[in-house]
Amino acid sequence: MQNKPNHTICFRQDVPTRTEELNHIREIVEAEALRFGFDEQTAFQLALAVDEACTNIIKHSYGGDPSQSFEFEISTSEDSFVISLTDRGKTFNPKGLPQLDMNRYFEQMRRGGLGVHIIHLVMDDVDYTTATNHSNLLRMIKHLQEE
Amino acid sequence: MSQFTVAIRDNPPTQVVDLNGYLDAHTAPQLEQTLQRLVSDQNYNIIVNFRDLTYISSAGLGVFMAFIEDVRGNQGDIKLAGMSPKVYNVFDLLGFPMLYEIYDDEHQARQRFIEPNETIG
Repeated sequence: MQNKPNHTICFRQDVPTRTEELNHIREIVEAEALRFGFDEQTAFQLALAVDEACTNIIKHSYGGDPSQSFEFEISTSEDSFVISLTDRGKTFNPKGLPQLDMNRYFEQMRRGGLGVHIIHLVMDDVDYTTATNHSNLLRMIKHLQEE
Repeated sequence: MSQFTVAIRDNPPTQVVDLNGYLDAHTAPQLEQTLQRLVSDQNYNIIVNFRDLTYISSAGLGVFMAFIEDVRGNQGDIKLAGMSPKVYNVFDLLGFPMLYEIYDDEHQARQRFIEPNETIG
């Protein structure tokens, strides 16, 4: 999951931990995904997955504290479209959660917990690391040829 | 321009919830309040009209999960209608059509409340 030499950063921004920022983030992801060559449906799904990841950071990593911020970056290399989110909130590893069984989910009439499931359905690769400086990095990757 | 609006419309024997804009973690609380009001007033025949909704995330889906059990427990239902292909895709991605009846438009959903056993074509 290391950056390749031809890795290009398309967009980078510090985003306040407020849910009103989600629409702006979705618009950027969708526009960059279309520019990279994904079809409309995939670009829409990528925006959805990133929305879910950002919502989890705002609600869970920072517990809804609107005064914080996290870093949002989109980069590309060859066929890979990579969205990286870096926060300094509570560690929340979406890879550690069990695979959601939707039949059981509906039987139990549960609510919530769908965001991580969406991220895994949409993305080809999801990587979560916590650095020694307590920052959490979530990298979500979608490849062009696997559409 | 407003990001999201939600309005209740009377279309006996149903109450129609018209959605407009986008439904995400920021706007979902507005829908939750609206459905809470309907259920508190014992309105259990609910159609959600998605015709003017452009986007939904899991925060929006979660709102429907919060009320469906209560509504069906009172012999009612929340039927969904008029979704754009993009919005339907989010429901479909998660298998929500297993749990919810989804119709092309409000008229079909209302017919199902009136004639639950009739074939709608």
